[in-house]
Amino acid sequence: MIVDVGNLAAHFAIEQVSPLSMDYGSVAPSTENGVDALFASMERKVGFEKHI
Amino acid sequence: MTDKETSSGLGGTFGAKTKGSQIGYGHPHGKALFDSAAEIIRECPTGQKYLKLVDFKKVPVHVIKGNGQSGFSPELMTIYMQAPGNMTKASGSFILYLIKGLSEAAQELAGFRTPDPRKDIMAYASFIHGRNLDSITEVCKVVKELTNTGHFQDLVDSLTEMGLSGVYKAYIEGKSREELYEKYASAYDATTRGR
Repeated sequence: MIVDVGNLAAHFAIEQVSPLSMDYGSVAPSTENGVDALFASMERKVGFEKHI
Repeated sequence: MTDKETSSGLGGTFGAKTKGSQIGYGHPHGKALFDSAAEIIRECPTGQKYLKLVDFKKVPVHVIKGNGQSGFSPELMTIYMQAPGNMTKASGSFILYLIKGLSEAAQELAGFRTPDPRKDIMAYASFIHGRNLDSITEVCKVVKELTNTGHFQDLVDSLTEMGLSGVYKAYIEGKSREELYEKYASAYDATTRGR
C-alpha cells in the first residue's frame, strides 16, 4: 500500500498490529464471493449495453 | 477527449507530463511498462478478469518514477506503480504488484471499504491483513495459471524475492485460507523485521 502523508495513520496502525499477533478468527473474512459478484455485475452491464 | 477522461481514465494514466499544479512524477516509459505487464497478465483467465477493471476504466493505473512500493490507494481509488526511470519493460515484481493492486481495487469496488485506522486500529488491521491475504492469494492464482508460459520462472523468482514463496507453495498444495494466513503472517513478519 502506498504510504503518503494522508495515510500515515494507516501506516502506523498496521505497523503496530502484526498479523502474527492476530488469531485467524479475528481477520476479515474472504472477499472472494463479493469480488466474483462485482465481475459478474460488470459482465451483465456490458452485455446489456452491447445488446441495446 | 474530455478533461474527466484525461484525469481519470486511461488517457491520463500513463503520461509523463502533467498539468496545472500536479507534480511531474510520470514515468517516461509508463505506457510501455503497463502494456508489457498487461500482455503477460492477459495470458490467463484470472488476469483477463482483473484487467477488465482497467479496460472498463473502473480504476486508473499511474506509473511513476521511483524505487518505493507500488500499490493501491483506497483514498484515491488509484493504483500507483513505481519503477526506476530507466526501466522499459515490466519486471516480475512489477507484474505481481500490479495484480495485487488490481485485486485490492476490485475488493474496494465490491464494497469492502477500508475502515478509518484512526477510529479503530484493530478493525483496520483485521481488514488490511484480510485484504492482503486475499490479494496475495489472487497473485498466486495468476502465477499458477501462467505455469506453462515462458514468464513462470521469473514470476516465481519474484514471489521468492518478495518473501512469498511459502504462501505460493501452500496455495498450490491447496491449503485452506487459515493455513495461507499463517504463511502470510510469517512472511509479513520476516519482511517487516528485515526493514
